[in-house]
Amino acid sequence: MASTTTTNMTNTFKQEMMCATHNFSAQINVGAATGTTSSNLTALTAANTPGIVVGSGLAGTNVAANCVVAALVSQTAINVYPATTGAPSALLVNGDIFKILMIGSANTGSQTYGQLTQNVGTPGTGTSSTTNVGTDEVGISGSYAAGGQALASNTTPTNSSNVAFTTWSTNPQWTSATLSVIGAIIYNTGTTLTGAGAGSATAQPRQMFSANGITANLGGSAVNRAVSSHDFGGTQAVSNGTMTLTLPTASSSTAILRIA
Amino acid sequence: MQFGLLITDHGKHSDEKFAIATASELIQIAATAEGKQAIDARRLENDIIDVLTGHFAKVSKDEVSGLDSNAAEHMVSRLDPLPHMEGILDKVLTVCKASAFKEWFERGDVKQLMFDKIASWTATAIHMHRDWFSQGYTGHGTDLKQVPEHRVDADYIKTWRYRCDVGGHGAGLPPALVQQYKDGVIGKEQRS
Repeated sequence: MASTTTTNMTNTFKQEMMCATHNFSAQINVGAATGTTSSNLTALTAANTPGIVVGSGLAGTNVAANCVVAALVSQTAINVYPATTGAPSALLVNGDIFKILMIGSANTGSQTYGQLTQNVGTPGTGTSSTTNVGTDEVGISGSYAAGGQALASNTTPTNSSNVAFTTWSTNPQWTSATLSVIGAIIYNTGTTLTGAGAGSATAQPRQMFSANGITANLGGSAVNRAVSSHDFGGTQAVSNGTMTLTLPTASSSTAILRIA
Repeated sequence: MQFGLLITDHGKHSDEKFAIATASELIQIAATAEGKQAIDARRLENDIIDVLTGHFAKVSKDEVSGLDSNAAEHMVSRLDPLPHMEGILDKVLTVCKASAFKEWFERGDVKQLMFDKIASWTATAIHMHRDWFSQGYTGHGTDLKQVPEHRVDADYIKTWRYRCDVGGHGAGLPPALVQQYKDGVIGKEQRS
């Protein structure tokens, strides 16, 4: 018996969406700010701040690793954690980083990846379960690495016909690869549940408690939370070639992720 | 929530395959379609494929040329389809407006959707050439060949793989962040 895939949004993802712990926002180019070695960045350009949400990752010159937006102070000022390490510039505010991995056709697991999948855990390692795809992930080949590939780039969710939906701007693709797969899982690598500064109320604005401790999601695990699984309708194989997953048209009836 | 799949064994997707994939999203013909309207639609689809094949051939030529002439600079540049988009939508619209469905292609939302789709597939084509290059291959079609003296530890290869891992392709990485990655200050957990 081998693991199989279905096409579904996971149950834990739906719960977590109601707790605001997934951020699909597109990258926002904020530019420069004042606030050298400070957690309070001011003099932002007001036109660049719409769309920033608490918990968003911050990158740029003199920005500490795993920095997040901790509070929105005004239209031109934000608090961040950890503090910047120098004069901040080239600031980019990001939504979470979502990745996609694929399930191999020759897997030896016994899972049904779908609504009950909670986390992808440590892809490529360990026994498969609802919180770890483990060795059910297709083996690395060519540019396919353990954990798959980051989906580039987030596009801010929109809605029409009473359906909210989102997608990504570039189709995921692997080259020089020999793969045999049955489906894929989209997951959130966002570390805002486990970010630096554990114990600080302002450091982890979207962290939630669970029965398993502070660094856990509703499924009991902190990172690589499963969003959705996608069945390929059978085994799909490529031999030393190029495999591209085609994202469907972003509309209320076809987008890859939709909430009605 | 369904992905489509585009698969090519033993090499890259051809320019025509990209054109066919793009055209199939620009004009969708029901499997059960028949009669004059179906014939007109398939004729238009073929005309679009002809135009887009030339577009993707130009993208391929520019990418391979850029990689072969200055890989270090090309691989860390932004994965940006816009420089390739000038004029292509007008060319596609010209054949569309000469078809029986010209009224449909006067709509602003349809034009925007067409632009977005062509841009997305152009970005996918650019990604393909650079990803193959990161694996040590250059050229295209039957001319696919190994990169002379390819080094997997070259900074621009590591930067490319980092972007694949954390999603920095679309926007590019701030220079300071690229340097931090090269210096080993940040690892796979850092956001792009």
